[in-house]
Amino acid sequence: MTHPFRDVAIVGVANTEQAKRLEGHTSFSIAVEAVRLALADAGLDPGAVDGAVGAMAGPLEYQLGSGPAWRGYGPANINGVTTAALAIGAGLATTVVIADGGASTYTDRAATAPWTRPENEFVMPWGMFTAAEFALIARHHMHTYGTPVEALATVAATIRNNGHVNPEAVMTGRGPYTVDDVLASPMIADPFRRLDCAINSEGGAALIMTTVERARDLDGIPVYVLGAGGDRFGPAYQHPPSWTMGGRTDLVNGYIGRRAAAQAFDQAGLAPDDVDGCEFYDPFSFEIIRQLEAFGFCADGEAADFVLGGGIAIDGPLPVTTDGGVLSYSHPGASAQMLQRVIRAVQQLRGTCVSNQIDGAEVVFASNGGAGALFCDVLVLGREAP
Amino acid sequence: MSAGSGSAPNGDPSAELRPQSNGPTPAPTPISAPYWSGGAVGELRYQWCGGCELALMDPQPACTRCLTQDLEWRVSAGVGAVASYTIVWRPPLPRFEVPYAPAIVRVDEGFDLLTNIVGCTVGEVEVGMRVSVRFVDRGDDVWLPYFAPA
Ligand SMILES: [Zn+2]
Repeated sequence: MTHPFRDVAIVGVANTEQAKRLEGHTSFSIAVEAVRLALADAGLDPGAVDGAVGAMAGPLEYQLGSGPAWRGYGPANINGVTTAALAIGAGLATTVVIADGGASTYTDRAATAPWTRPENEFVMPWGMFTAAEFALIARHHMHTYGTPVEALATVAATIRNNGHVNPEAVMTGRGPYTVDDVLASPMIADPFRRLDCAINSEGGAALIMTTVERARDLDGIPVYVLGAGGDRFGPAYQHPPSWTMGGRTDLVNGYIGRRAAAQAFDQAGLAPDDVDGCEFYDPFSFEIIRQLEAFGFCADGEAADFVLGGGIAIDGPLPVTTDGGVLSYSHPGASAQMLQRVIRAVQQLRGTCVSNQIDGAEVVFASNGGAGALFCDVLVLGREAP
Repeated sequence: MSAGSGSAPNGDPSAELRPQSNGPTPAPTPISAPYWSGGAVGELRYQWCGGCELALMDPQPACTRCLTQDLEWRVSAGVGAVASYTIVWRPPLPRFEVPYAPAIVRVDEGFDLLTNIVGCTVGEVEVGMRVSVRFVDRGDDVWLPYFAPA
């Protein structure tokens, strides 16, 4: 069987400035700036775009003067990148923009960010929000495997230190952080303390995909989708985020993303050992421990020891979330920060990271979502065409 | 960043867990109304599929295994064990009094329920703890099924 993404290449990526507040911007205007930068990165004119994915796809089609254009009805994240790759591979579009941004949306600072507290009759009366949903998953793992809070704190310190040395991170220069710093920060939703939890900020992100044929005419280094997958167990933040979801024992919600990763590695003809770095989605520290096990980088119950031994450090065997992720780099809304995992993976493979460049990275794994939200999408990206 | 209302120091294990006095009240749907109103007569109600012998929670239009719409409302004994929990010290909205303890309770009839643990201190909550239902009247025919140590 020929590879499903053999005709597709990522040719442009861009993040705008990321900050706690970007005065004068709306979510759409900062997304447009990201698209302009990503097109410039690709060396493409706006007129080349004939497809868009994301909540802003419609306004972007109009802004870019596109049309008739193909549109993907997914968010601008790994799921959207996968949708775009399928559409390009099927010949429905040639050059697709995947973009999103957040600005001027989080103004009521007495509350947590609006995307952390979707309303539903079964979760609202219990004071649920994202930190509590993910804490229920973490607690199960800690109880089952004896996972210590020091392992969670090591994840938080490691990724936040990646942001500390990244001049483009919202939290640049705010460290360095120690495990003790994390364990001394205020409790938010036990076992998560403030430094275990994602920040919030503003910014835009965009990614351009096109055909391999068109990519040959461009100057930049193309990056290829070697494998993709996505796992879901229903709507996020409605049903109890239990580890087993109704007593299942085979593919459990606690290890959501396991099937997706196996599919992605199978498509790529690769295994976890072949990966040079991981741009994992890091909404809460524990999610990294869970993903290491779910995706097969560690055996079940063994990721805490791997983390405590320096396994995910930038100078360790498997650097994780090298720009600081949503713990430190940026979290500008509902989906741009997920696309930023893909953008960072592309920068690692092109060798263009402004900090924490992994020398000679050939294969990078990226993820979105987590067990607290009942979804997990993954990509295996590489420098060589599949 | 608001700390939420409540006077206990952050992380204090001796803090008491109580029902919310000003929490939001869910708006029942035709599917969920029997669940929310059960507390009026002291009943923790759940759906039962006789065809495949499956207990359903939360309320659904059809069985999540066989998709039959022929579901029966049954009454649970209201007893179970804490499958997982968290203690919230920074709430999503200022109206929530901290600390409070969101938990998944595995009810003995075979379903998982999202609730809050009350009637004990923060330090007493643990995985596996036996708990039983404590209804709190929220008005408008809505009773919230909190759980307390059995
Ligand atoms: Zn059934």
